[in-house]
Amino acid sequence: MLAKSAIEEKTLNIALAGNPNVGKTAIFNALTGSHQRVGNWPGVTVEKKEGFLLHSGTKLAIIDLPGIYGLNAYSMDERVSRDYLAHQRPDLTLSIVDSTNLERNLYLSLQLMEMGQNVLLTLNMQDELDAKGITIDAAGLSSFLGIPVVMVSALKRFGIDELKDRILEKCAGNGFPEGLSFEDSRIEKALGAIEKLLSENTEIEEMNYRWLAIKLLEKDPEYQLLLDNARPYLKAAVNEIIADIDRIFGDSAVAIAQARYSIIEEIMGRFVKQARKSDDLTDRVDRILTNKWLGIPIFFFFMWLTFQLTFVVGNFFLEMIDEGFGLLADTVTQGLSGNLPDLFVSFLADGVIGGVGGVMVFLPNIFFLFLAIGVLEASGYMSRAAFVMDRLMNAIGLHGKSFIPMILGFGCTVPAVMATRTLESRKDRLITMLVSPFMSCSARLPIYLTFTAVFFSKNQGTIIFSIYIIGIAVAILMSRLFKSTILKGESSPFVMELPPYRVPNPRELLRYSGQKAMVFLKRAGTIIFLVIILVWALAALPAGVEYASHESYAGMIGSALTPLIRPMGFDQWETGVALLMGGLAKEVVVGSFATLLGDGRLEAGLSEFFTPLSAYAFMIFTLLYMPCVAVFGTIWREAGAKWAFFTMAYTTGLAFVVSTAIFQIGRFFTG
Amino acid sequence: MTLDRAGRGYYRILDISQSEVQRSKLHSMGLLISKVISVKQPATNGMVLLAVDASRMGLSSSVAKSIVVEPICSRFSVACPKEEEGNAGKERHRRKNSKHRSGR
Repeated sequence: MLAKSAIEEKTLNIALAGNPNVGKTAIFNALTGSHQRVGNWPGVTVEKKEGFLLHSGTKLAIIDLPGIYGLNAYSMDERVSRDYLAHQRPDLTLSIVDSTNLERNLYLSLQLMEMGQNVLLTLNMQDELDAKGITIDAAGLSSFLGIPVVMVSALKRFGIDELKDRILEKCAGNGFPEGLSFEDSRIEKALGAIEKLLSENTEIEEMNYRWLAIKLLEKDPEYQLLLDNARPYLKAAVNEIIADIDRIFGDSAVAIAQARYSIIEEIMGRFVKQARKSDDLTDRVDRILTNKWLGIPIFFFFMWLTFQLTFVVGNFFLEMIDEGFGLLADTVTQGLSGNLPDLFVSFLADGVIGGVGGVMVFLPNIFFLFLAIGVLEASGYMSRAAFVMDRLMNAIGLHGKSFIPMILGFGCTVPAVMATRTLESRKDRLITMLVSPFMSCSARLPIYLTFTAVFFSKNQGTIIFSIYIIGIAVAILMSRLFKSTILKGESSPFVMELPPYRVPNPRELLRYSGQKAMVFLKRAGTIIFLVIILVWALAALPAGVEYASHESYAGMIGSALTPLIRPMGFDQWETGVALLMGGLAKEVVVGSFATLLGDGRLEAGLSEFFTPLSAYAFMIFTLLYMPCVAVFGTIWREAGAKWAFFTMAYTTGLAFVVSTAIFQIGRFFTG
Repeated sequence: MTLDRAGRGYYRILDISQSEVQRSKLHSMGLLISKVISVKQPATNGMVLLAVDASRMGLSSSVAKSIVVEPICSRFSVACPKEEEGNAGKERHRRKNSKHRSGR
C-alpha cells in the first residue's frame, strides 16, 4: 500500500491497456491534454507514448500502449504492450474497454487481473450506450470484480475528472489484487500444483507464479521456454499436470479460455442489459461497401473523390495564396532593388519568396488531402478497404491487413512504415515496408499539381489520379516480386477487426488536418527553407557568376547529373538539381525549380524544359524514386541499415527504368 | 464444414484446433468452441466477414479454412433465432465449464 505522502513525492506510472480501437488514445488525450492521433480502425497506436498530468498535487505519467486482444504477443506492437505490462509493472493499469462490446473486451481485463496488475476498469464510449439500448450496472460490476469501475466518454469528455480522482484513490488504496480464481477445483488444483513446483525451483526467476502457471496451462510458447532452461524433472512434472487437464477438458488452453468466458457470461447476465437492437446500419452499409463485385470499384471511387476534393477545393485557395506571394515578390523586388545589394534582393525574391513560397502555396491542398484521409480513417472505412483489397493482395502473396499501412502512405510514408508493426509476419512486414514509398505521399502533391497545371490543365484531376493508381500497381507488382524471390514464404494467416461505422467528429477532423497542415508549414520553415537556401547558394556561387548559370555550383552539379537522366527526357541541368534535392524532402523539388528559374518564371521555365510526355515521365520518376531522408531513417530504425539502403537503391533504379520506358515508348508513338 | 465454405447465415464453431493463427488470439477475440457466429460476407477467394457478439471481424481464408463450423440457419430460413441460438450456445458452455468467482 502506498502512503499519501509517498504518492506526492513520486511520479505514478499509469498504463492504458485495452483492445485495439477502444479509445485508449482518446482517453490519453483527455487526461494529458495531448493531441495524439486517434482513428476508427485497429492499429492507430503502434508504439508506447507517454504524457504527464498533475492532479491534486500528484504527478502522473500516463503511458498509452498499443492495442492488444490478450496477453499473448504476436506482432511487434502487441509485444510492446505485453512486455511493458509484464516487466515494467505500472503503479496502475487502466483497463479500457468499449462499453458497447463488453463481452469481448473483458477478456483482456480478466487477464490483467490474473497477471496481478493493479487494475481500474474504465468503461469508455458511454455516450454510445443509449443509442444501442445498453445499460450497465457499474457499481455491481465493480463489486463483483473487486476493482473500481468508472464510466467515461473520452469523445464527449464525460467522466474524465472522476477518472482522475479514482486513479489517485486506487493508487493510494488497497494495492494489487490477489487475482481471480477459477471455481472449478480441477483447474485450481492444477494451477496450485504448478505454482508450487515453480516456487520451489530456484532456477525460475522470482515472478508472479500464478500468472506463470496460467500461461503454462495456456501453452504460451514464450513461457514454455522458461521450462526448457529449468531442470528436466520440473518440465516433466508440469507437462504431466497439463496432460491431466488436457485429458479432462480436451485442451487445457481451451479450458482456461472458456473459464474466462464463463465469468464474462455471468457478468453480462447480471450487470448488462441490452435491448434487442442489432447493428443493422453497419450490416447494411457493409453489404454494399464490402460487396464482392462493388467493393473494389467503390474503393477506387473514394480515392478518386479524395483527389478531386484535394484538387478542386484546394486549388481555389491555392490561387489566392499564389497571387499573394506574387504580389509580395514584386513588392520586395521593386522596393529593394537599388537600395540593397542585388545578391540580397535575389536571395529574398528567388530564394525565400520564390522557393519557400512556391511550396507553401500548396498548403490548402495538403489540408484537404488530410481532411479526406481523416474522414476515411474516422468513419471506419479504412478496415473495409483492407477487407475488399484482400482478394487482390492475396494474388500477390500478401493480405488485406498489409493494405492499411499502404493507405496511410497517401498521407506520409513515415507513419505507413511504422504501421507495419501491426503485421505478425516479419516477411510480410518487410515487403509492406519496401513498397510503402510507392503510395504517393502528400509531399509529392505539389510536384503533381505544378506539372499538371502547366502541361495537363484540362484534365489535371485524371492525370493525378492515374499517378496514384500507377503507384498502387507498382507496389502490388513489387510485392509479388519480393514474395517470389528474396522474401519467399506463405502469406501469414490473420484476423482483423472491422470497427463499427461512426460519423466523423468535425472538430477532430479539423484538428487532424490542421495539425498536418501545421507540420507542412513547419517543414516549409525548417528543412524546406534550409534546402532552398542551399539551392539558392549553389546557384549564386562562386561569387561573380551569373545566377543559376552553368558556371554556378548548382549548374556544375546538375550538368554532371544530366547524362544520367537524359534517357528519361530530362535534358536540363536544373532538373538534376531538383531531383537531387528532392531526396531530402520531396516538396523541395518544386521549390528548387522555383529558386533556380527565378521568381515568377516557374511555369514558363517548366514549359521550356519539358514536353507533356517528359513531364509525365518526370512525375512518375518522382513518384517512384528514393524516399526522403525521414523515410530512410524510419526504415533503418525499423528494419535495419541493409533494408534502408536497399530501398533507396531499388526504388531509384525502378524509377529510372519505368520513366525511361514511358518516355522512350511514348516518343516512339508521338514522334 | 469449414468456415471458408460457409454462406451467409449463423454457425456454431465446432473446432479451431487446426488454426494456424495462435488459438489464444482467436480465443481473446471471442472465437472459441461452441460460440455462435454470423457470416456476413462469405469467403470468395478472400476474407470472410463475421459478426461475433458486437464485433465485426475479417478472417483470412487460411484461418477460415481451419475453423470447423456447423450451420444453425441460413439467410434463406424463414426466421433465424439469433438471440436464442446465441444463448443456447452460451447455456451449453455454462453447463460444460467451470464457474468462477472473484477472490481466491
